[in-house]
Amino acid sequence: MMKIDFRGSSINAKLIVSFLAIALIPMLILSVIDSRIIFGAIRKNSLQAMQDVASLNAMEIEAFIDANLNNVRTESLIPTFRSYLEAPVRGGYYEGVARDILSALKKRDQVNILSYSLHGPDGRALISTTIEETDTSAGCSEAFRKASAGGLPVVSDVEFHSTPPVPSLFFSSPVRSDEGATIGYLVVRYNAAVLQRIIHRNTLVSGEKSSVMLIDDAAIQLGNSAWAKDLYRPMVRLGSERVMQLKKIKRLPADIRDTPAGRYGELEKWFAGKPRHSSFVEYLGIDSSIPMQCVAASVSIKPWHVICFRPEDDFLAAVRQQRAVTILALLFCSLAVTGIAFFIAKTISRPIIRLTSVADRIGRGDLQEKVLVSGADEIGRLGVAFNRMTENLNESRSRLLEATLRLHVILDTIPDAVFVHDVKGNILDVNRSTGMMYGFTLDEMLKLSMASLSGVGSSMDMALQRLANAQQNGSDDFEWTARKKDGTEFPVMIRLRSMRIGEEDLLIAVVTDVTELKKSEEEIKSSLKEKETLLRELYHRTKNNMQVISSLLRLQRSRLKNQEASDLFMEMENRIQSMALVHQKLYQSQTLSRIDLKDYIADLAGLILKSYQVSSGKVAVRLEMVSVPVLIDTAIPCGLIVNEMISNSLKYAFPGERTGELRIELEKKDETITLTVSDNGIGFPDGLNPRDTETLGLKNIIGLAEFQLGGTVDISSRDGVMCRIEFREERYVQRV
Amino acid sequence: MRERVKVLIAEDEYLVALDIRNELMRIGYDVCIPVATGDNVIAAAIKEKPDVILMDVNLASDIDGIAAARAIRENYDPCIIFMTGLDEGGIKNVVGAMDKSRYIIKPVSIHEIEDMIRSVIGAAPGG
Repeated sequence: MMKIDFRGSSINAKLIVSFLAIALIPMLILSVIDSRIIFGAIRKNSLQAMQDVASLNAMEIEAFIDANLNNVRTESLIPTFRSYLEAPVRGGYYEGVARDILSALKKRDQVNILSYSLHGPDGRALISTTIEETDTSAGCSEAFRKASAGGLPVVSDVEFHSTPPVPSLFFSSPVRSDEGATIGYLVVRYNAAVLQRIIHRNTLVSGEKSSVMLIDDAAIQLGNSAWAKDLYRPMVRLGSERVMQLKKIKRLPADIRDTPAGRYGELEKWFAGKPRHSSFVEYLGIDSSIPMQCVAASVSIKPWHVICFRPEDDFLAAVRQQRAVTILALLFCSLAVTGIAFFIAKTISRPIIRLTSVADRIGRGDLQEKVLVSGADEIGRLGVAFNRMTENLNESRSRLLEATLRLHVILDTIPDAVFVHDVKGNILDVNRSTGMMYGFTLDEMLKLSMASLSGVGSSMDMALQRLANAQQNGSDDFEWTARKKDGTEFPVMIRLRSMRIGEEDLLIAVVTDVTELKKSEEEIKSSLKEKETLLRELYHRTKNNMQVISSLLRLQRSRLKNQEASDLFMEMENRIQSMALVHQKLYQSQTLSRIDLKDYIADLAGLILKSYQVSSGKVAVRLEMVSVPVLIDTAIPCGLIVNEMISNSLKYAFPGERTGELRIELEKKDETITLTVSDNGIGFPDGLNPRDTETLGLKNIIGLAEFQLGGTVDISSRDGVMCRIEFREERYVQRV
Repeated sequence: MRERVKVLIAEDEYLVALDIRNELMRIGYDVCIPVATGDNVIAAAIKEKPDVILMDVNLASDIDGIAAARAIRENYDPCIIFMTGLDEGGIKNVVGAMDKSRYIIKPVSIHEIEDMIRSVIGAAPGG
């Protein structure tokens, strides 16, 4: 099967091939189907005709033989013949009469009948219309005797005798006496050529080129319409012995030789099968080159067969001619269709080809190209669409150019360096600022590696690691040390972003020079440090100043004689101390804004105990506190409150030698801070309501707790005094 | 007879507030219970309608003295004296927009306060 690849061929070729295929394939199929059917029908038809011809011929032969047998039987009843044969002496009256009758009978068919003769019972010819055969026809008399044993008329095979030397066919009927005994035979001798004439006459029915053969049981051709020279030759090879035998009984002429083998192919095989009945065969090939139809019909009286041949050319010629005409018509059609297809293809494809060439040019970037559009058909519309597409492309391209330009301006304007890397870290593109930042020209930049732009401690491996990281996570931001052309190193902040453009993975690096940022950061840090120092100094001085005030009071107190006044002074000292301690704690603290209430109260308690000169044996102090960092605004009122509460306990709870325990608890739950100071001393005097008291100490506790801290105060006296304040540190915001 | 001049002290430092109150009462003013937060100042001012409010600018609350003063002014028009530890320029900017406002720089002495009230009301505490 030929494989045609249309992909590479032009649209013209495709169109033409399509047209031809559409137009011719049905015609071809039709003609093939047509001729096949017609061939089949004609073959069948012809075979039927051949059968008819064969049967007709066989019937004619039968009729001929039958008629002559009837004739000779009827003629044998003529009384003169009986009288002649019964007469004791030959040559008498009856002989003359019989001779006249025989001559008259012969006149029935002057052409074909060779002679009439009367034979004695021994087969010997007594009188004959032909004088010279009287002594020479003994051979055939022998055959008659046998055949006429039943008393019926018979017909002989075709025999060859010397007088006269023509193939003959003998009909004979016995002449009987009154008693019924056979006293002689009447014999009619026919020229065997009569058979050939019958065959020939009927041949024309079956067509010019057909031929008919009549063969006897030894396959000797008694009639042959086509090849007269084959007459009386065996149709098949008989073998020399059989030929000799047949010659002896005069069924073959003396000068005949055996037939060469294989001349009639299939027919010989059929004949070898000893056909008994009429049967028809169709076979191909006499000379095994010419296809033939062949049909055989048997003759009923003699073991003879009529065989008809007809070359296929004969009956198929008309069809073949028709097919030839069809093929011619097909060829003509092909030519016509090709022409039309070519024309249509041209018409369709010309604008397409033109469009293609324009598209080619547009594809190469020439967007100014226009298609000259003609026609309102699809191709015309395609042209219009094409022009519109080109315009849109033009517009898109200019918009893109504009956007790109704008982007370039933006990229070149920003002070940051922008790199475009591939995944291997090669520098594909940079903006203008890059050159300025690194001190290279842009062309130099594109030839550099990342390593040559990085400072000491920033290796190529680290850079590649960053790229890989950014590619995996989409981005990576980090600090880096960059290096200029002159070797100066400077700190940068790099923001890496991965992006995919088409099939390529790219990494965009935006590099910000953070030298100035680092510098100002350092400045801010040092400035902050300075402020912290100042603040610490300030707290320190405040504390010192308070210490000075406290000292002044103590000096003043040492001169006092009045115990009550001395006590008041000491209380004032303690209050100032408590505030001084806050400032001390502040400048010692890390944050400068918050101090730990727990540490502060613990220290404060120690100071107060010392100032009251209370030994640990008299009052044991138990601290149960959690760490609570508070602002200065909270710490100072808390300190004052704790100061008042501890002072009160130390002053009043344990008079004389009484000992006891002072408990300070600090806890924080959620945002609520609970501060409890309790003792197991004597408690309040009976009937004292702490809220009504004018004592500055208690009043201060309540005022500071409620007014300033916004908390609640709970003072109770049961097995000593318990004072608890609860507050939330929410009023104050961090100021420092 | 005119009523005594009524004063409200808004000061988040308890002991300072206590001190000023004691002194002003001693002089003869009618002094309300001090308040420490912006909310309380506004509530107390609307309830008591004092003639003079001594207003600490930095109150221990979300609402500072200036915001509280604005809220009070929407109800009635008392004399408001701000007390602040800020420097002079700062307080002028803060208070300047408001009429009839005076200010005293901390730390304050009771005499300063008395003079200021007197100059604003134009009368002795007893009326």
